[in-house]
Amino acid sequence: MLWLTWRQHRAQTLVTVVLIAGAALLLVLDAVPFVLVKTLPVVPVFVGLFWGVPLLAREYERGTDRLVWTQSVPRSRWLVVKFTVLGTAVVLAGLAFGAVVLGWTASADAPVDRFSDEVFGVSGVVAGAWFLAVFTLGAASGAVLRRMLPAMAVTTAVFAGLVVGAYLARGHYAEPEVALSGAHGMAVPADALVTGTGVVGPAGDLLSWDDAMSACAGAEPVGCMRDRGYEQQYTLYQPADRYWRFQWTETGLLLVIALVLAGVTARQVVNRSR
Amino acid sequence: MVWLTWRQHRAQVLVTAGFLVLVGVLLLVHGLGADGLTGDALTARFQSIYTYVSWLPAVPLVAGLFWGAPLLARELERGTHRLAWTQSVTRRRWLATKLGLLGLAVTVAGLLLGVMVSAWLTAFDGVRSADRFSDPVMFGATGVAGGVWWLFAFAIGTAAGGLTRRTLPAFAVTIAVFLTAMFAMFAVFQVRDLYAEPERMLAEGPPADAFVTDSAFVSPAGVEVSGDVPECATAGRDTYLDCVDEAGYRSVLYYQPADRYWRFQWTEAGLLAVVSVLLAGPVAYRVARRPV
Amino acid sequence: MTAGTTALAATGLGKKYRRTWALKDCSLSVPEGRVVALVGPNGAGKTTLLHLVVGLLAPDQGDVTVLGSSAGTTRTLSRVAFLAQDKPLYDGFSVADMLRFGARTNPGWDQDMAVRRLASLDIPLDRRVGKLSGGQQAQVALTVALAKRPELLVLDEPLANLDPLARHEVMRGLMAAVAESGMTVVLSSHVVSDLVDTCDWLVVLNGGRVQVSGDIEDLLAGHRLLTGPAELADGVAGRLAVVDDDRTDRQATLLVRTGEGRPPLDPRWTDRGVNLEELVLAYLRRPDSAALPKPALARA
Repeated sequence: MLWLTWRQHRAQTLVTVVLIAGAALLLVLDAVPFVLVKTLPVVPVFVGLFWGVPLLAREYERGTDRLVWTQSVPRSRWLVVKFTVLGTAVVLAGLAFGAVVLGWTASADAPVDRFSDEVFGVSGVVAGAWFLAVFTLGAASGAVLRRMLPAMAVTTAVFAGLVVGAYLARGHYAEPEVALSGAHGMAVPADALVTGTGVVGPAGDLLSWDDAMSACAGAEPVGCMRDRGYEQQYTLYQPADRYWRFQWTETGLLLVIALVLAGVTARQVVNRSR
Repeated sequence: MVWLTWRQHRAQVLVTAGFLVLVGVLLLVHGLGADGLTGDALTARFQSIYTYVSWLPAVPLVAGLFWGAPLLARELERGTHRLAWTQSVTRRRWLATKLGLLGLAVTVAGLLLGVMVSAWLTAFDGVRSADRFSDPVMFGATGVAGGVWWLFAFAIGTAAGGLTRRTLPAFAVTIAVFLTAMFAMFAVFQVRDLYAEPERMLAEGPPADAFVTDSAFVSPAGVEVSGDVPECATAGRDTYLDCVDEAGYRSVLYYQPADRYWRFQWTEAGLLAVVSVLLAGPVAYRVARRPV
Repeated sequence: MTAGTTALAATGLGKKYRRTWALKDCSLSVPEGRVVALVGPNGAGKTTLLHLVVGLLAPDQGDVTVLGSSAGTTRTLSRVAFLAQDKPLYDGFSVADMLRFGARTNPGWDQDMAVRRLASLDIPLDRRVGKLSGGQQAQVALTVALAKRPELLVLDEPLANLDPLARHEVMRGLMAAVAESGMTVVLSSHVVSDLVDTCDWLVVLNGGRVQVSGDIEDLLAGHRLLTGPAELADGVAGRLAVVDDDRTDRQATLLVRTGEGRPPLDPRWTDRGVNLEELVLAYLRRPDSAALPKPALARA
């Protein structure tokens, strides 16, 4: 089974190793093209498309499920071996990539910090969790849909949803700190993750811009806001030293998702009703 | 043939239409909500969605994957090309209809997205970062260039499918070629700077919406210095600009005026359209000629 | 060949896809060491039945016992080999890789036999499976199934998509292996003539139900084709079990189940034995007729 797993997935393995080595080489040569930083958040989807989806969809599509599941290895063991080996490979790839990206952001002239939305999910330990979760997502959609192309489409769409969800959720992993505008502008520490801005009400309450504006609906906004006592502005942020705490929080969440999706896959594989 | 094209690709058409409707509604709601906002509030509202809008340049890649790559690869992989090409429709006509209709559909979808993003962007007129010209993301997502980026990705996908004859490798090749093309265009060659000779100006700041491409210092003698000003080589970081000022240097900006936006759009559109034809043409020819 | 034990037994077997039953109330019993022909028109449920036997599907109703234990368990998996309809193989693997695949997933794998068999067929081990001809792919798939050294070999339309020469080669290879090992074989086909010389047990499946199941020699001996005047047909039909009757104004042709021996008949009838093809066609034309084994026959 180990040999079979290697033989069937060696192309993905080699390409992944080469790509990660390439990323590491860019780091070593100090030649990181920062336009690529924008594309960093989409990297995990490729794990889903090329590692996850073919795992089952390709077998079903080519009919080789009927070959492999009528050998002496029960399909439950087949799945356990494949999941364990490929899952481990994917997590290792994710951790390696996460380490390389952390290296990128640590270089002196990096235009992004590791806490920013673009980088956070593909740096540190959470990169491994993202790789694993998207791998199981691809596997589960392949197991349910049994065809590559629809499974790839679903994986892409659900992945985009997960990323949006993560962006929205990240601000809430811990109670944010508040910085208020003063004579010298806003005292938001460098490298912090900004999660919201707005104005401070007369009673010290925090209003988002939308709320403040809707309170002034119809009136001339600047004057209205001053009249209502919305003098000060605020920024919600997560300090940079919370990076690792957030990493572990998101890792935990993603592992739960991965577990659920692995369960869906296992159910589909073991279920012999169609 | 038109029916066949529709029947085989309706899933893509419907999903793309659904995606456009979804994005359209989101942009509409977000844009209408900006009505009446000014200053920091308007900027904050723009920033709240900018991260997601900045993904739009990746959307053509998805179109290339799901519209282009399966077009030939799936037929060749399943062997259905033997069925399709032995009907009374010539192989050339089959290919021409498919490439023509699907290429058109993909381009129209991209153009629609461009129109929607352009319309949404007009709601953020006062926001400095919300500029359709100087921001590379916005430039690619608005106007006609967006539509041609879709066509370009579609051509890459089709060519990859015709060459690899299998869906999964075609996917991998499409992704690699598309990202390499983007990387080459914007990181290595910075092609958008080459669409026209920039204007030069001695100034405090560029005119509104202009696309600043470069800056330098000019000595009192009128000589342009790229890099550090020699007189201030020893000055510290904080005092450097004061030193440059004292030495009588002035800054000079190179920029593309805002009214060149459409010229640039058509240049990029033309460039990508030509590359698309060069990519898909030989593959189509090869597929049409090659024995089954 | 150990007669007296059952290789395959199904009781009340049923399988449903959404709302339609692909297979219903299917009961049959096949003794060990037989070569079973599973015959039926397209869509009769042959593939469903075979998938149930090898454990790819689980039944919605009833159960199926293979070699004494229930289908699909780890124990039966290693004793049953299956060749699916389109002979799936991993296209990207070399032939040697396919053998290695078999060796790594089956404890009883016979590598010598596999290598010898492929060498005798002139199939190069280093060739990619996807580059082989259809007949060669079928041979590789069959080799992978045989080298597992199964006690029961299940083949779904093994001869479909093969040219006559390849059909002959595949069948000959199969029969040689059966003669050597004494395994039980179940093979499905919708072309009866493919099976005439090789099989000794017949199962006819039609519309998701088992119509016929029995030893081919017994079945042929127990059926006769009568030809005689049309006006006497009703009388015969009252006395004998008519499987199929085909009447014109004056003449009737009846295929009847007679059991042992020849029935006494009006001399105006002529009668003769039937061949396998006539027998199968008669049953397929009349889905209401059935020749199911008496319990005694099933144990025979």
